[in-house]
Amino acid sequence: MKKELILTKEDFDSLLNWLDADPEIAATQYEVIRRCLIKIFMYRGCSDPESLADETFDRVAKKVSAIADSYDGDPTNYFYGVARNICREEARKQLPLIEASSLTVVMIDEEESTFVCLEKCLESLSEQQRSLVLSYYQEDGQMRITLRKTLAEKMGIALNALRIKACRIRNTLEKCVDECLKRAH
Amino acid sequence: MGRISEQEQEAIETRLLHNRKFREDIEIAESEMLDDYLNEGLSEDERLQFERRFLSTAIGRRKISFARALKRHSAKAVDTERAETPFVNRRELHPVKRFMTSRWAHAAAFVLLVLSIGMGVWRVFIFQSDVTKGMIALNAAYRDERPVEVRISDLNYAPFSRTRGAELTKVNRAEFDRAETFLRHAVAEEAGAVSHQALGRFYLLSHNYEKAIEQLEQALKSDPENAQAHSDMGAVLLEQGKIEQLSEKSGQSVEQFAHSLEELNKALALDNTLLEALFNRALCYEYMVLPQQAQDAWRQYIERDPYSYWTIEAKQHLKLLEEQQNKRSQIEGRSLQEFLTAYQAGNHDGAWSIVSQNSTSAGNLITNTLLDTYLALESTGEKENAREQLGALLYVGRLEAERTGDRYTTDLSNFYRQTSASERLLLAQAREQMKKGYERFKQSGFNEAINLYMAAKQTFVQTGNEAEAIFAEYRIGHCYVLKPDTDKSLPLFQALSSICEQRQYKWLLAQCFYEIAHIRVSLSEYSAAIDSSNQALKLSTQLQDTNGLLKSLIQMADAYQSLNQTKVSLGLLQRSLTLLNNSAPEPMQAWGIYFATALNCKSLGFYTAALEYQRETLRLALTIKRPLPISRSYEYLGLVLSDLKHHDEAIKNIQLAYETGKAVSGEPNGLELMASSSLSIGDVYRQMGNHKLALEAYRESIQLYDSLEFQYFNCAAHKGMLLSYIAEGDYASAKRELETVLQLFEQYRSTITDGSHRDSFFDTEQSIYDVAIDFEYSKMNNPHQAFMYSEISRARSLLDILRQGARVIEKENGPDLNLPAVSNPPTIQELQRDLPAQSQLLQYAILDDKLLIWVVTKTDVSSAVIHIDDKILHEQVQDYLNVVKSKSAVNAREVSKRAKDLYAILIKPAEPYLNENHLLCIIPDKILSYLPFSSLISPISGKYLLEIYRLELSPSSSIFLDCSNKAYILAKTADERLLSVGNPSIDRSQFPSLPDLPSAAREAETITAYYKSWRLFLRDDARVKTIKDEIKEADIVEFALHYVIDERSEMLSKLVLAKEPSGTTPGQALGGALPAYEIYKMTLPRTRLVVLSACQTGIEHAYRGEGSVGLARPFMAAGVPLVIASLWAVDSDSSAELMIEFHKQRSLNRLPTAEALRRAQLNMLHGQNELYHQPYYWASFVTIGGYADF
Repeated sequence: MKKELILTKEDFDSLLNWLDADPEIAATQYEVIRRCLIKIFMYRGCSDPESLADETFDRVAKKVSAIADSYDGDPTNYFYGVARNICREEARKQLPLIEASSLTVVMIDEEESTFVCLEKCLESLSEQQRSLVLSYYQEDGQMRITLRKTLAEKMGIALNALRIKACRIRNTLEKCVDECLKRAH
Repeated sequence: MGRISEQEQEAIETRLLHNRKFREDIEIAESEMLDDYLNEGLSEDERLQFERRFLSTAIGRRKISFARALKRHSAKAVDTERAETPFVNRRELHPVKRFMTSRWAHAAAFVLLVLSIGMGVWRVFIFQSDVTKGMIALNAAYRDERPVEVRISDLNYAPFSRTRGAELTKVNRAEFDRAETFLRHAVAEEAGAVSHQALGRFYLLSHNYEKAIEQLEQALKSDPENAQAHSDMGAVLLEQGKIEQLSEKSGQSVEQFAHSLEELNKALALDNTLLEALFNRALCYEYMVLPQQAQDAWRQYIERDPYSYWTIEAKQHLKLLEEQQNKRSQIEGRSLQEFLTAYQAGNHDGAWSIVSQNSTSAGNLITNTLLDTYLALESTGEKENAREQLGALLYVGRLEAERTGDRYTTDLSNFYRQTSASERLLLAQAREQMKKGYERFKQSGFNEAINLYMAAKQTFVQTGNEAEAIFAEYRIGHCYVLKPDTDKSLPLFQALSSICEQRQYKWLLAQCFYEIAHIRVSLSEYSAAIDSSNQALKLSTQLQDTNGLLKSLIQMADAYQSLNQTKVSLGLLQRSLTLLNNSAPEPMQAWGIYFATALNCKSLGFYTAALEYQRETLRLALTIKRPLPISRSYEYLGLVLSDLKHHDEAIKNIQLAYETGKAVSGEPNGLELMASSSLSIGDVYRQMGNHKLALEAYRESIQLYDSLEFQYFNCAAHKGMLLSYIAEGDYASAKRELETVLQLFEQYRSTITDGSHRDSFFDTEQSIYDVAIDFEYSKMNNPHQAFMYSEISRARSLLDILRQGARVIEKENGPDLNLPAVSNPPTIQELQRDLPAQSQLLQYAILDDKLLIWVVTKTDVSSAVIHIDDKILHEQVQDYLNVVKSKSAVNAREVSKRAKDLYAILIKPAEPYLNENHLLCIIPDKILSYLPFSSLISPISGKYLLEIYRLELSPSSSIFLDCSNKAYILAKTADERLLSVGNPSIDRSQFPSLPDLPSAAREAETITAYYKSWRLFLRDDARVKTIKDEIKEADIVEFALHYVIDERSEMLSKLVLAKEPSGTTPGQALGGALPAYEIYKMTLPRTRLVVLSACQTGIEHAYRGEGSVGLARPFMAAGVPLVIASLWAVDSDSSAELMIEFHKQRSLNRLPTAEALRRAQLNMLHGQNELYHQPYYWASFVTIGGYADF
């Protein structure tokens, strides 16, 4: 379950200020670190990566006023250290992994909502972006590879550049769908 | 996960957090994994693992759900598309085998697999890192042959191929390419010591030394204690030095070998068993021409690594060195007998080769032996044998005259042919006296030697033996030189050189030039010394006299070293070392080469190389057994040891130097050795912080030099005393010393007459002026006097030129300026008196630990001090320059932040004293010469300095006054005549890659509209001769064109003009360019303003002392009081806009130049084109000179 954040505004501001004096840059930093932490927790097999990422920020924010002046180095490393500790604590109390088969059923309800949300989100993209992302994820196997190569050639860019473009649009869509689902619930 | 270690997992996670590209790759891989899962592209085991990871978390489930939805939408889109385009059968497209475009994306997918699925099978793939794979490929690429001689870490043995460049026959290209891909990828994706070092090795093997150094520097930055990286760095430098060695004049190779040795020693200090460093060090000694050290080093290597292919090579090197040593001893032993054999066989070349190699300071050894044998045989009545000897002597004379035009031996042999028995008896006695004199000379017994030489000379004169009388005179003069007694030696050699010239005694003439050069150095007349050395060098080359050649090369290297022109000095030494390696010169010459090389290495901070060379000088000196080289070797060995912080050992060595001098203290030369050693002891004590003992030693040194009436090193001793007094807090004595030292420096200024020599000399010696400024400001609390010291140290040569003109002279290294007598800057009172009322001066002095600022107005002199380390300030300015010179708007925030920081340091402290309505003339110092002050931003108002003040630059306050006076006189002219030059046709044979500048043509053409009288020259019409003629008639000159900087010398940098058409002689020699030295030759009494609308015309180099030199300088020297020039390479289009606006403001609004430029810059800053708001586009241009109403 997601834990309630107990960050005060003051703590949060100090934390952002520690990341960068410029609030805009600090906000971006915050977002990047959070996404990375989620991945780390997920890859380490933690059951609720998002909550644990928030927990990490919470703990760091509580300490930031004490360490900001004396800490010498990239704040990201500090977050990572705290995250590792949380992970260890989590590992000690974690239940065995749930069998996947028991979970697949739960997902079905969400499927349609996601599909609908994605449709809306696709509409918010430009024609070019929409066409690119839909073309990119068409087909499978060898045919997909061939199609992607043709698409890249058509666009006059390298295949890797196409992959990056598609991935970035996909991320935007994913974010949009997440927001949409939150609103729906 | 249990499949990879915690450490490995952390490494990947850290990278995820820090590397944006890696994150993106992970995202891509993750989405592909999800798609594979949905498309049933995973195996059963993979699928189960995947579901455990992803379906057990909410976010994982959301991702799968999203991927599924996207798949459905994509499929829907396909159906729609198919319905719309029924003829395309997608299944017919050629299937290609599955691949990933980015090798790293592939790797990233595997990373994800390891992390999320835990497939241990991929572990090998991941953790056989790119570096490992790259190194495997690199080893495979060079399995059969290695392209460099050095030993590179982690590279297996392969025989060395002497083939240079990329045309290696035995390189496996496929593996080479693989290595490059892996290693570049490793650096791009995971920059660190290991990857940088590996890529550095790759570049080294590819002969791309610059890039190899870059990579290894990065590696060492991350891991400074990496012995292998130091060894590889040493290897690169060694290989680079070998290439440089081929271009004899550059002198880079000596420096690179010295640097290489430093790196190899660092490697061995970290790991004394590192075989590659031991191998490379032995090799390095060989290239440093230290055969003894090389032999020892190879032996050491063989001992450490007795059974390997590398050892076979090591043994070959050792064998070769031993053979070379034997060969040299054989050359040394080439005796009279060998000459006689060649003579009797009619082998003229062979005979001449032996004769020419036997010229020594005692005369030619073959000639001397033949003559002595002849006299001995005559005295014992062996007439036949004596005649044979005389015949051989005549033959030597003939060879000498035929091959070199030298008539000395011919005259000598002809004279002896006609002598009587009694004369021969006298002459034999005289020659004995000459020999005894030489023996005394070698032991520094100069007075006795002179007496013996004089007695011999008398006999020679009496018997009519003019040739030997002249030779005896040369020996007497040489003793005077070394005594030292310049009063006697200089006129003697001046007279002797005329005689030798008349009689065509070329070898003796070369010695005269050499001696005169020696005397000039003693008098600190370095420019004149270099000229004389050059004459000696030319003659010695013509005479094929190796010893003479070496002597002159060493002497010139020494003079250039004294002028702090280390690169030139090293170039000469490089030639000497090559000669030394291939011949067997007199041991004294070899000593001289090593000694001078050691001095240069020391001054470059390569102390271990200096130590090795100095050890070699001591070894040679002890063999020569002469007090002078022995004492000097101990002394300078001690100084190098002191640099290496071995102070006790240093003192011991210098005391030995002192004792060696003391043993011959009956001679002036002995006293000189003691004086020099005392000076060095003083320096070492001062470095140790023992100022009391330092002062004692300095006093003794000065006393001894005074007793010799020889001030060669007096200045250094006074300088040492000054620093010690300041450190001791004895300010009264310090002040006294300061005056003495600066007086001596002013003497140097007048005796160093070549512009480049003076600039480089005072570049280094500026430190003493900085000491003086700091002393007066901080200790004596006298900011006015501090200002005066600051003023007398800067741009003095330009001031001399402005007041008296200068002559361009052709020198060995290209054109140079012959400077006039030294002018004195005005006092501070005179400065204030003559300062134009509407102006104010802002003068800076950057000292070691502080920045001093003075504001001088008509009524006040105010000052401020900012405590900042000069290195930090330098770095701050440099960082600012790096961002401000970048066109990218991305840096705007950074530019602004740094501009504010610098404003706070440089302007804010002076603000209270500045008047916004007056012209602000900035007199920068050191790094500040490069700074676009106009772009600094007030942190309080947010305004650019340009918005607050009308700005100008000047090299010194004195020059500002002189230019202001000139401008005042020129202001009387009402109508201005413009010469406008734009986009000249480029001579492609000279400048193949310069682009055409259409906007420069537009600029030159447009501005004519603002002048009543103008001359316009574009493209083919903008020819050198035409411009040189027209410029004399112009009041205003505009150059909108290319300016090409010559790295060798600012005198050779040039304005690119159109070439004269073929057939027209005048100006053709210059091709399509007007070099700076040609402008220095001009006198432009009419021209009031020159606009240099080209790249980096304001500054090419900033000397400490003389300040910035660039194209603006020759125009100022020609008499132009105002020059607009640029501080960096400018954008052609924006420069055209800026300059058109400038002329418009100046002409239509009748604004003075500085204000017109300011308005033009402000218009650009606030104009519609946002791109041009960046300082890069407008802040480069500055007005340099004085105050002007026009």
